[in-house]
Amino acid sequence: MLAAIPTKCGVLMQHSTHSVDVNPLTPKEQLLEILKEKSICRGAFTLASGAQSDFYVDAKLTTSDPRAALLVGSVGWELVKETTRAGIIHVDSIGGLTMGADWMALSIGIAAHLEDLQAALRVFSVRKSAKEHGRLKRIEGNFSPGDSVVVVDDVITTGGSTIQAIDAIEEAGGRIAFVIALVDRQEGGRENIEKRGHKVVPIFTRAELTGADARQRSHIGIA
Amino acid sequence: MPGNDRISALLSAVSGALSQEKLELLGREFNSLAQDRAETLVFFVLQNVCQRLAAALEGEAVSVERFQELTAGIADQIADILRDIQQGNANAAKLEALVVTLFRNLGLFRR
Repeated sequence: MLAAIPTKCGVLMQHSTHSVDVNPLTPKEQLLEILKEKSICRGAFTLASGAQSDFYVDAKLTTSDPRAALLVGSVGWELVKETTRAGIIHVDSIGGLTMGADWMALSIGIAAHLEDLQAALRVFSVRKSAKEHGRLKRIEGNFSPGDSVVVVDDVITTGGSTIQAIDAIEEAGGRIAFVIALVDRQEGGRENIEKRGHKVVPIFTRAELTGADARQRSHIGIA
Repeated sequence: MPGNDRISALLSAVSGALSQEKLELLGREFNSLAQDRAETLVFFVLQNVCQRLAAALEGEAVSVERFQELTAGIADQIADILRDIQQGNANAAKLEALVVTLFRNLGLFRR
């Protein structure tokens, strides 16, 4: 059983020293600082998968922050370009399961658009379940059957939400190019997704956030 | 999958610990069963219980203690209702008790 440690996350940076214009850190380093400051929660938590952990990443506190969103866009779009160049892949659109993926996908789409109006990525969102009325759509936004898709997720733990998005996209006729995650918690999710034949490219790993690999830490009670 | 096999699969699923992801899956299956089987109201209530509980857990740093408070008694009551359905004895009073448990766990009672 984990000790009941007081939880704390979402520390506001009212006197932030970050400045996009003059900060000597790279965009990725700036993003890491914001993530560590805003999104890391310590305590004894039950995760969405049912596993218990002493570490929780509330990534939405970062991805919904305007300054961090600019950085997510910039870093994410660079990663998309690198990965597509390395694998000689073309991508048409980007999206993932609402709501973890939404701000992140839009940020990357905006960064792509700002750099090259012609090469812009289209952005969409995957509902957790299909609408029961109208066109029974599970995917909302700018997606077309046949698209080569970058799937995004804010945090990968078991990979469950990412796999849900992959299933919905494939069912709708999309092809998965690869997966980008803001944080890979290094708890088997990446492997679960890769077993299905999809490359996973994390912006950050748990080790980068905390300086420790989840598999080297004490971890309790996988449900 | 024949109807009773689906109930058996659900019983097996609720026998382990609950989680947000499992509650979402259960909710989808209950929704489907509400449309496929005669016990529409029972499955509709079960779907709503699972969905509301999953929504309460979603996107939150849920402490272990809070998780135990939110889910206390839910899996056992769902399993009991499913066993009744398997035996052809859907019981409305047990649904009422399940919703009371949900509301108590979520802190929704105003009386």
